[in-house]
Amino acid sequence: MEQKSAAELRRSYEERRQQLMVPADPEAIKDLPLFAGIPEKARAKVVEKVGKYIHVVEYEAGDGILEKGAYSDSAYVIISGAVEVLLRAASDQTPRVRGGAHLPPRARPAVQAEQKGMLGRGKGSSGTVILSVLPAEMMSGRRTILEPGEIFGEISALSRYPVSASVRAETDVKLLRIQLRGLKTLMQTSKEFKKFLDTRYRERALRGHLRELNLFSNVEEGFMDRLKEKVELLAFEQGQVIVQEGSPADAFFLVRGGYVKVGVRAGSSDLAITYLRKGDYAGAAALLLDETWPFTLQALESVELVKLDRADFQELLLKNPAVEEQLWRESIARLKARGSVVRNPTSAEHNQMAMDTGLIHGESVLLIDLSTCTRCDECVRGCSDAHGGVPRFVREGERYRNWLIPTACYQCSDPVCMIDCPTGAITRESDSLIVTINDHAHPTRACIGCGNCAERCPWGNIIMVPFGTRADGKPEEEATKCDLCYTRDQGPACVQMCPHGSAIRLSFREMEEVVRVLK
Amino acid sequence: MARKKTWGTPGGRLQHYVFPRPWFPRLVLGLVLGVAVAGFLLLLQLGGGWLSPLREPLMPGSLADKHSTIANCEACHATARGVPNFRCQRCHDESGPGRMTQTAHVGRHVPKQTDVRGVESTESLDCVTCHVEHRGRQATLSVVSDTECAECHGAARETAEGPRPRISGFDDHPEFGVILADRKARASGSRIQQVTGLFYSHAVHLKAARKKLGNGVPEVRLCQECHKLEGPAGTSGHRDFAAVTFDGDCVSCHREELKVESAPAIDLVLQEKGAVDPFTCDAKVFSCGDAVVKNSVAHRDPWVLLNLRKLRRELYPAAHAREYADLLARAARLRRRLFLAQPLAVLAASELKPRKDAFADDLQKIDARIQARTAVTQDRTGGRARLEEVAGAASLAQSSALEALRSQMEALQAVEGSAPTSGAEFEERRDELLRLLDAVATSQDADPRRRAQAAYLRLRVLSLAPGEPALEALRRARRQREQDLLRVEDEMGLRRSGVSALGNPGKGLRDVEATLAGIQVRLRELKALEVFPEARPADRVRKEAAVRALAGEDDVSGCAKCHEIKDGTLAPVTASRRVLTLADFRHEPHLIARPPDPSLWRRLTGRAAPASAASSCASCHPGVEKSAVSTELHLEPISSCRECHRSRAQRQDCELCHRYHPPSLL
Amino acid sequence: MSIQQALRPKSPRNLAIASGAGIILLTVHAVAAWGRVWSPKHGLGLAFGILAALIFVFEMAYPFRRPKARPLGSAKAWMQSHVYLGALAFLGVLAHAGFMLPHGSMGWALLLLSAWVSASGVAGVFLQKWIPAALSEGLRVEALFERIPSLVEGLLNEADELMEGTSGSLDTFYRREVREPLSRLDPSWAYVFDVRSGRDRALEPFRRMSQYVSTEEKSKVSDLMEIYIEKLELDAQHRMQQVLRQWLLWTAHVPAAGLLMGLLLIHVLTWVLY
Repeated sequence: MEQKSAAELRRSYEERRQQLMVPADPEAIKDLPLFAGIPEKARAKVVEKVGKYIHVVEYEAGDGILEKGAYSDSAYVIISGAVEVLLRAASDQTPRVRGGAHLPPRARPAVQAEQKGMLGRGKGSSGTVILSVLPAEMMSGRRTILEPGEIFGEISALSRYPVSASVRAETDVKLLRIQLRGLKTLMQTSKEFKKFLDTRYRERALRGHLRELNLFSNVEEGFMDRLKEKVELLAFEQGQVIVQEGSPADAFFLVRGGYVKVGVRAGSSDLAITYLRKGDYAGAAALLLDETWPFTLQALESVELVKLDRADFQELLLKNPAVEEQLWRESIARLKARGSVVRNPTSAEHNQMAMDTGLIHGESVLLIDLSTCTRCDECVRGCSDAHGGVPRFVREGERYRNWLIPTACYQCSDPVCMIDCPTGAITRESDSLIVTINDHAHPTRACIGCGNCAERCPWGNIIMVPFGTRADGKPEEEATKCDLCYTRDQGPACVQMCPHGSAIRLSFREMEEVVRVLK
Repeated sequence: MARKKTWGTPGGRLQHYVFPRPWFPRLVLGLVLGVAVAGFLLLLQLGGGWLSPLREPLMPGSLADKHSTIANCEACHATARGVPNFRCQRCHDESGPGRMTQTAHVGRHVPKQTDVRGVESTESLDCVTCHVEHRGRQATLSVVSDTECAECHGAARETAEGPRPRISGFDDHPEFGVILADRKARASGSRIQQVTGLFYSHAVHLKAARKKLGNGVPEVRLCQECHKLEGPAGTSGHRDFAAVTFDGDCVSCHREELKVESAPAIDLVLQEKGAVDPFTCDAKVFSCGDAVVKNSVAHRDPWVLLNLRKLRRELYPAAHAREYADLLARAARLRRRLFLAQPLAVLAASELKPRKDAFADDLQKIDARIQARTAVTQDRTGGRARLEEVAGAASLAQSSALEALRSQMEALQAVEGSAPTSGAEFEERRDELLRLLDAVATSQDADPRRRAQAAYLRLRVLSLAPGEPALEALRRARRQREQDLLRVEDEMGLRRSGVSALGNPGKGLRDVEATLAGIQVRLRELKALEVFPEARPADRVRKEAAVRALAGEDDVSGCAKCHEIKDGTLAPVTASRRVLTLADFRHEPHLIARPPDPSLWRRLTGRAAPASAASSCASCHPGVEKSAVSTELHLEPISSCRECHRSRAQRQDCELCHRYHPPSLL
Repeated sequence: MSIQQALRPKSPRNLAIASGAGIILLTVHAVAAWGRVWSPKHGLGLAFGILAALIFVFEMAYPFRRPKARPLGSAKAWMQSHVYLGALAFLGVLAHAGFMLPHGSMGWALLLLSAWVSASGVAGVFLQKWIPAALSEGLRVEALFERIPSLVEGLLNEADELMEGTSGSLDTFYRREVREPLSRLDPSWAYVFDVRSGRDRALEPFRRMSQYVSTEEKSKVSDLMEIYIEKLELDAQHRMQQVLRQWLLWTAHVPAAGLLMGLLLIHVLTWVLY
């Protein structure tokens, strides 16, 4: 990276972009062992279907392919050449700031603004767990080289975790890049492929994932080894019920990715008690109490779970009394929450709203109280002044009670916008809650205006803004979104410039706070 | 499927958001408008001349009716100095600068109040502090509310002479000065004497009135036989008693006093066209025989008075000279007053420059004298130095007055080391000094230079204040001169800026001029009598008899029945001089007012409520019905006023009785 | 938030402070003026005048809250101080004049202008509390003011699409009674007093129509009614938001303030020079 000049980098990105425009030729790839698990007759169709998500990309020796902490939406299969997996990021000279900022590391919202609650940040850290995908053999300190036929980056793509180790081209390589949709289709159609990926997950990621949780942090190695072979890896689509309330409790679930609604039956529908995101777990209460499920678990979107059966779970508890202690505490808390919701269903309304609108993803959501908002547009004017004349949100959106949810980026804890960015212009610092997009003038990771992020955002919070005209007469655009005014001393301009204090930022991570504020 | 109700924005989101800008910069518009108006008005503000009428909106209120002819702001407002006193004094000038301020506030006619240190310590008040203009056409500037007085008198304070009490009304008003003096006198066994120049007995006159009117008449009516409510109304609209005049009130009973006995013609004179000639009989007027009798004598008969004066000149030449000197002194005072008081606004521009130079020159001289003085030890009675100078002048002039002067000096030296003189005593002494100086100045045999010096010394003696160290007097004079200079310069500046001179001086100065003219006449008359030499001892008896014939016997007949005559001179009649000199007391409301609540009256005073507030004159003037001499003071102390004038009863505001500017400034 | 709740002060602490300051001001004036002469040119009268003038200068600085709300920190702090200090300034003006009527045209002009500026400001505060609460309580549609005409057009298109393929009475009903009012914006002034004014009356034809159509068409009628309701709400939004945006212009709060500052400058100069 540092060897190449900015212009060269740009050129190589341009080239890659061109490459990304062109899907791989089905003929060229159909013979890859990738597709081996698919029956002959179905293969052609699958290859065609998946084909538009597969691209052949080339890197020169020394190019960075994946950077630690970045979000990747693709798995890479090595066709020719070799890559090196680095324990440390190559660009460690600015360890805290990756992409996103061609500004100095001061680029964080001022502490004061944060203290004043103007950011709506939850009390904890952003909570994204960095998945350790370092395979065991890398711990020894040797250089890890991957050969043709090997696959890397698929776990990050599937679970939408930041990449845990940088990957660099050792020689000139030719890679097959499979984007997430293609991966999913392949996993669905090819059992072998799925098994392959699952095995890799078990080998590489599962242990680390489990270790990240307090529950499993002190569990002995042998047990962990056994566990990682015995757990089931499940996937659910949006709306599917995972467990029904009242069914016998026989499993402990760990959420690998996606959002799960925890609900309780009330009348003819479910009252939402809370939701689970990746890293959360469910089933402890039922197993401890040895009762039927007190809740219904439902997938709010595509969800991946790790399932521990009853026997394993109880063995875990036996060997770790401290774990049992903690689980009891958390279970009682959750049952209490369930009780209060059942007694007062309207408090669940906020939960339900958050789930329905997708605000549960929001680390810092801008809300405007319409009963005090005088529609003066000072918030928009402030945002516009802070961003060179282009406001980053529109005062339009859905309404909940007296609150308007405008189209300002929610700073999702699990952003889908970052998937599919061809240049890596949209990034997030590893422990920050702001997702930022570089503008078109950034030297290494510029937004090229492809519009993928804008399309991906389910709420349209990313706006494409023209800044010039191309050679063919079409406007040149770049993507913009709310960036919490991270370059501004005083914090978000929208909150600061509202003369009536109608604009607030809330984190939906702590629902008690939300319930209190939303009244 | 039923259409979902929209909560929020119907339809799709904006993909391309262009933030609308306001169509005009509101702030700029507002500011431009404001600044434009401000600029316009500022232009008016600074422009004078033909733009002046346009500045009228800038006034915080229109001028009072009497001032409404003033068109130019600069006539009164000096830039960045507000409205200084000498601008008011351009028209309202009765005397020198400062006359309308604190020195006026402490009147010069009240005994014990002429201490100039007390005057100096009063805060200097600008005219505009109390007389606030720009209150509309209908406002009366002369009316000043009590709250203004309360600014200084509303709270007790420490002053240079000691604590000054709070005076807010009758309740906490100090006792009348004359009553206090009377009490002090009584403590040492005497009483305050009113020097009226008349022999008069109220007892006799009241008895006569009762006899004339009958017994059933209320007492008030008896008094009103002579004391008539015919004077001019005050600002309160009420009248006071007119001065009792012989021709109006006394002549009806005392006609026979207007009779002179016969006197030998040789001692008599006549005045024709200003010249005094020996007597010739005019049968129409006189009955001539062995002696002459005038047929009909009026009060203040000029022929009688002329002859009395002539005889006085012959019998008591010193008295004659004394009166002459008196008149000279008075004339000098009045002339000085006229000189100082000449309103600068009336002078032509060419006269201002010499005036200014004179003031500047005088200032320099005073500075020099202060310099000299500070080197010398403090002279507690500046008068001593004057006296010495005067003595020197007198000795050089070889004046016959020297002996008298010497005795004066001895008397003064006898009181060396005692407290400085003040009050009436001071005035007496000063008058004597002035007479002596006048004698020197008018003495024909003295060197003209000496005479001029004496005249100058006369002025300096005039400028003395009682009990004042010479240095203080000089400093006061210096301050005064500085003010004069400032005033002249201001006037010159006004003339340059186009403000024109005024047409006529104030009314008061015309009175001064009239009085001065009268004095000149008398002086000429007295001068004319100088041809008559001192009476030979042989003629003295005859002439004294003539005097008695003309003036009557003391307390028995003729002029002397009522008038006090000493050495052939009638004492000046000051009976109508006010006892309460600072107050403007009107009798009328006290005669007609009834106490509002008889039971309250009884409760408060323990007496039955009278039919009127003053059922008899004696209720405020006790002892009058038994009074046989006119020198007695008949006045109730202030507590009698408080019977009605107190809080929540009758008015007791300052303006009820007091005027800040004393009625007479002369 | 109900309208009643909305009219309460957003920051009761600030109200308490301002009221306290006002009471102190009045008390000081009353004590100082009791039985004494009061002059706007000297002493406490002058002090009140200077205080009011300085506050007016601060009030004019309100636009400087952009872009970074310096030095008060937030636009809300600017707004609160602008309103409360404005009220205090007017009280200061009255105290400066000794609670007496002015004598000259300048005095009247200053008093009336500051009264107008303060009154229009207070009217604005009231409007800014009342209208948002009314909108939030009474309506469910929310739209940008500039977009309302195009949103109405969008609704019209939606209605046209919905009604495509119908015939008979429903079609006639739509074309004759519904389409025309649906197609134009009609921001009645009655919405200022009641955001839902006239709605029942306007929806009555739909309810009637619903009785006379077949079952499958009933849902179309109810959908059409929903569209119409949203259009009515957009009308109300338009008028109310217009009032919110334009009150400043209609009451001439800013030009009057500018004029007041001009005259204030003259007033101060007159005092200095004369």
